[in-house]
Amino acid sequence: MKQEYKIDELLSDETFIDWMRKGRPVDNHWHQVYLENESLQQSMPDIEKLIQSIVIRNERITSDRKQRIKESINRKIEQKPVYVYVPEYPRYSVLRNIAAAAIIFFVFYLGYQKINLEQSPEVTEIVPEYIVRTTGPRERPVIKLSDGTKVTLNAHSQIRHEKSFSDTARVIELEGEAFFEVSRNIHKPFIVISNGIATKALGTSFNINTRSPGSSVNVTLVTGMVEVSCSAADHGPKVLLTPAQQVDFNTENGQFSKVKNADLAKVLAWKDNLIQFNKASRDEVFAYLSEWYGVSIVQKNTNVMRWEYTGKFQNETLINILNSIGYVKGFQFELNNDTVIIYDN
Amino acid sequence: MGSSNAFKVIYSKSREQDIWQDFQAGDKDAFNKIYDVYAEILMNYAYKFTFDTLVIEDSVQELFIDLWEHRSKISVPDSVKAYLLKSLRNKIIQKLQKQSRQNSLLNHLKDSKQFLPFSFSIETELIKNETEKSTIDKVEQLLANLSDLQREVIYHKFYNDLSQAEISQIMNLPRKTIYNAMAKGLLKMKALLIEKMAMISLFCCFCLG
Repeated sequence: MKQEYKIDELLSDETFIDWMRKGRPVDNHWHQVYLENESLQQSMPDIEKLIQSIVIRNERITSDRKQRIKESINRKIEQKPVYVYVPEYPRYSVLRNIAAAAIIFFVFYLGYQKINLEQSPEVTEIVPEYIVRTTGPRERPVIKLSDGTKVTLNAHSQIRHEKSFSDTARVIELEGEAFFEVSRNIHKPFIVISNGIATKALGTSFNINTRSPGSSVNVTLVTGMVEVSCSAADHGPKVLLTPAQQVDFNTENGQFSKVKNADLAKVLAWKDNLIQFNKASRDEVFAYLSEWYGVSIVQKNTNVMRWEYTGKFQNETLINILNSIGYVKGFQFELNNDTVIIYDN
Repeated sequence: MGSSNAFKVIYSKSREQDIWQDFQAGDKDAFNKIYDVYAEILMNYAYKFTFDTLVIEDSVQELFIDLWEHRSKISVPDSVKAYLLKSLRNKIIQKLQKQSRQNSLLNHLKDSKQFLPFSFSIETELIKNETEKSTIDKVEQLLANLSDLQREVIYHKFYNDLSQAEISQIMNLPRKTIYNAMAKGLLKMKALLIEKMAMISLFCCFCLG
């Protein structure tokens, strides 16, 4: 009854592997086999070595993290009635197809009835259509998207997105600067594409500025969590931001800066119509005002005084701001159409 | 088969299914208990496909939210662990494919649905001495030589303690494929380990001789 046990055969036998993994318990038929079989006893050290070497490394998942995810799940379960009308699964697209078929049928039916159909809004819905919003000087509108997301768009900026977001993601393109307050929908991540980077969020608020100094894009997170990655590169770098952090992406070399702590008040000042100077040089002050109000600012004198200015203005007119800075720093000005001329005293 | 062992298995399984039924009846405590028991196993599994914590955490969250929403429609699974691992695996595949479509990242995922990149490494903190350490380095190399399929099967067997039947259910592959992958994977590892040991004994013979 003696049988030769070859390692190769043993390693193909699940019951044998289970017996080895569990430390060779004696209440197993393999124990009996082992006692009676010399060939198995001889190869045991090799097999043991192999089995014992497979100890898989565990990720250390802290109880805080587990708790945070658990709370988030429970919060969403409780909020759930809010999402009742949102289709959450691609498989529900059957319904959508039926709806689309019904609309098409309806359109044909109307055509058949020779009723003049000028522009059915339902039909235009099916064709992907882009919505573009562009701001000129001094415009800072708050735009509400169809999914409830609020976008505060800074002056001289543009967003572009599909009229109805796809089933899988809400993708929006940005030029300039905007602050996003993303309405939560875990089934459709919100992705902002701007100057070569993709900022992905689920429900959160963050600021993106593509006009950051030094040809870079700045992403600053206010609440929640976002992931910033190159929008084009394969396996490109990714940065995860936690609240009050920011990162710069250099559009020339495609590199991310280190993640830094952000001065949120400063970053977000623009959206509250707040102009804030902190030891800003004369040139910085005039460049900022010129961009903010959409005017060009010209120096009359060739020899200008150097100064630094610190101060805040909210909802002020350009004239009031120039008056108060001019009073302190000693200059006067003249406003013609879109041009400001500065005269040093 | 010892009777005490068999009894323990039956007991824990039926208890787990009791909890599952409570959860399906709308008991949130039972639902949270399922999370508490499996969160770590699930997240660890997710880490083997990606290091993207956003994908990992979202997948786990979505899995449990779906579970709660569809609780009236699902049946009591034979193995809760296998059921959850399978659902999580599908979520991650979906997410990584979506990502690949959106960012043209992970292009290689597009064609192969089943063989996701799957990697893990060996626990080194338990290693005491230098010879063991070199064995571990060897094992790491061996793992690198396995296919993603072989690695995933070995992971389920050695870390999640699942049967080949359960693994075949999770990975949605025939049992025969799982059987072959496990056998071939272990043999590949063995071949290299034994080769190394043989070299050592040969060296010893040479010295003594």
